[in-house]
Amino acid sequence: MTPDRSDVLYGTLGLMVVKTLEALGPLHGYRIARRIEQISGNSLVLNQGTLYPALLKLEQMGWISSRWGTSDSGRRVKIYALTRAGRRQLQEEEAQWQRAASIVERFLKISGNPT
Amino acid sequence: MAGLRRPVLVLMGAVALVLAIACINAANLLLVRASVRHQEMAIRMALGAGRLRLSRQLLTESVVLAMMGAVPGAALAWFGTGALRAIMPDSLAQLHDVAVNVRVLGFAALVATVTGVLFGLAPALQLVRRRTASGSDAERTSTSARVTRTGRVLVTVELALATMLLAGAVLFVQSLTRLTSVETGFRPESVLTFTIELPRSRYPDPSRWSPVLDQLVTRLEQEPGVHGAGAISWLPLTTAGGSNALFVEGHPLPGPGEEAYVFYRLITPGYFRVMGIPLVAGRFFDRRDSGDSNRVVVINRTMARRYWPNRSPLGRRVSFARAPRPEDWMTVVGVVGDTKQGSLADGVEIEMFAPATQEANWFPPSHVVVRTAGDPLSIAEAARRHVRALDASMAIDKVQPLEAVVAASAAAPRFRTLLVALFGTIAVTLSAIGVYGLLSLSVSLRRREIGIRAALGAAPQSLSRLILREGIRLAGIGIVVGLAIALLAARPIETLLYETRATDPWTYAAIVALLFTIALAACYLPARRAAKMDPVAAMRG
Repeated sequence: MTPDRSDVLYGTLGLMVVKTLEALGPLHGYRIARRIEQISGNSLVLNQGTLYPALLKLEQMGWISSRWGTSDSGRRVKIYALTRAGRRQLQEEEAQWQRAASIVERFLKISGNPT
Repeated sequence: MAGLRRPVLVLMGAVALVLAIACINAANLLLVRASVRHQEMAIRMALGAGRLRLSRQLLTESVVLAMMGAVPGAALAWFGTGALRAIMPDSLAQLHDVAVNVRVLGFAALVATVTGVLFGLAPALQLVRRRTASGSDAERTSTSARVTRTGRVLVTVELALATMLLAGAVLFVQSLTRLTSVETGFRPESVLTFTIELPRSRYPDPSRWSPVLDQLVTRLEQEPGVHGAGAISWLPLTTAGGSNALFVEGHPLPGPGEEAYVFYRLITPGYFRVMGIPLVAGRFFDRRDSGDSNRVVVINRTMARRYWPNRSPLGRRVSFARAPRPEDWMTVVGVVGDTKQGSLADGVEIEMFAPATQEANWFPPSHVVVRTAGDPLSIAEAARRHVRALDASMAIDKVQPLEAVVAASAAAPRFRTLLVALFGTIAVTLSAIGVYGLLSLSVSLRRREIGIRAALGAAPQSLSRLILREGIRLAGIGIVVGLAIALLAARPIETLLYETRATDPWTYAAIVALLFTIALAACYLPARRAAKMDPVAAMRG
């Protein structure tokens, strides 16, 4: 009945991580998770099991980098930051999403029009 | 995808080798055909047909032959891709877009044309090189000799390629066997696992998530056939999860950037028992470890050995804060056996577990495990029911036996090994056919010689030994050359192997033995034909 949640998030989780890092600067993994939940208005539940694999993949692709830093709770943690390549990739993906969204929007408007 | 490049290149290399072997067989076939059509060509050249035009015709024929092979090949690829997609592991999710589309078909057509030209080249070149063609017997004999010489070279190359592929396949199989027999540190049999959602908006801290987890565990344990239930932030063999820098009381403070990081997971008290993870020292968590009591942790054996190699770690204190206040200290109360964290091939890192009741700033235990008496899926329905009863809006996901999780962690290497083993089998089969074809041809061409020997009183065994010797010499050279190349080229593959040296001598000894046996088997029928040859008929032909 409900689609497998991990599939829904798999492609977009990387995008959400990268966008969060762009908006809020370098963050600890735990903070990224919390912020994604917050920003999505708590209507989207983050699949905990896929976050760290996603971070690993993003790092492998060179879109984010990691280093040691201090979290706001005072712990020394691994902090992830957006790279230049990641920033470029994000801009491309954002443009793609906008295009797709506007096409869908236009289509929906046409369908609802009685004339 | 960075992690995919090397395995995909290796597989493509294997495919190219198999294609080369198939082309060699086709080339041999065409060489034989060309020599049979020798007289036809001679007549046509005498009638004024240019050598170039005739060789162009030969090339066209071979390209058509290649295309005729490519069409069923493409159809097979279409079905095969569907089948492969079904068994492809999720970790190779990017490959799920793989399909036989226009681009793939175009590539196939291109490969067919190129290979058609390549293997058609041999007979076409022979034609071009000939000065005159008389169709005489002497010429036919010299042509046959040339054909068999070329054929021998080609079959030797074929065997070398098959040796290389077989070596690769055996190495991969060894690596997979070693990988899947790695000790995981827990016992997944009869355990069901599923995930629940604990979003921050409804479960902001232990005061909200602990009672729900507690209730769920209690109700699950009341189900008939359930031995125990527990939960953890991340399951082993899926991801190592998050980590924090660790500060150990009594150890020198590390400089900035030199901290050791510890993998940190929250659990319910029954988790270790459900998973069959052994207690090495101290105790598991229990009811007394609540939000109000002293903060406690359980560490894994690797961590105990790293920081307290000759003493007991029980009672020692650790913290995530560089300058801990009293409430930041956590006391070690237990040591458990190591479990594989990220993947089977990775080593075990230091790991720490805390009760879900005592840590607010971390990922709560959302992966539930339940040990049953028999089939873990038998309580899946009950699990769904209990979760829904506790929180109507909470979805339950990834319901599967824990053994499926373990199998999935080896899915990618298993898939690669399957493909390489398949290629190796095809390559060896094609090479065996090539050897058989060549020796059959040899028997036909040497009919007169064999007939004479038979007439002079040679025993059938000596006749068959004649052919066998030819086959063994062929196989010997091909296998040795293939072995040498495999040994030289093996190094880059080693990174894809687990605890397997690419130059393991026993592996190669086994491969040599296997290939020799197969080559001998391919020699059997032609050798028998030689032995049974009727000297009268042979000399007459």
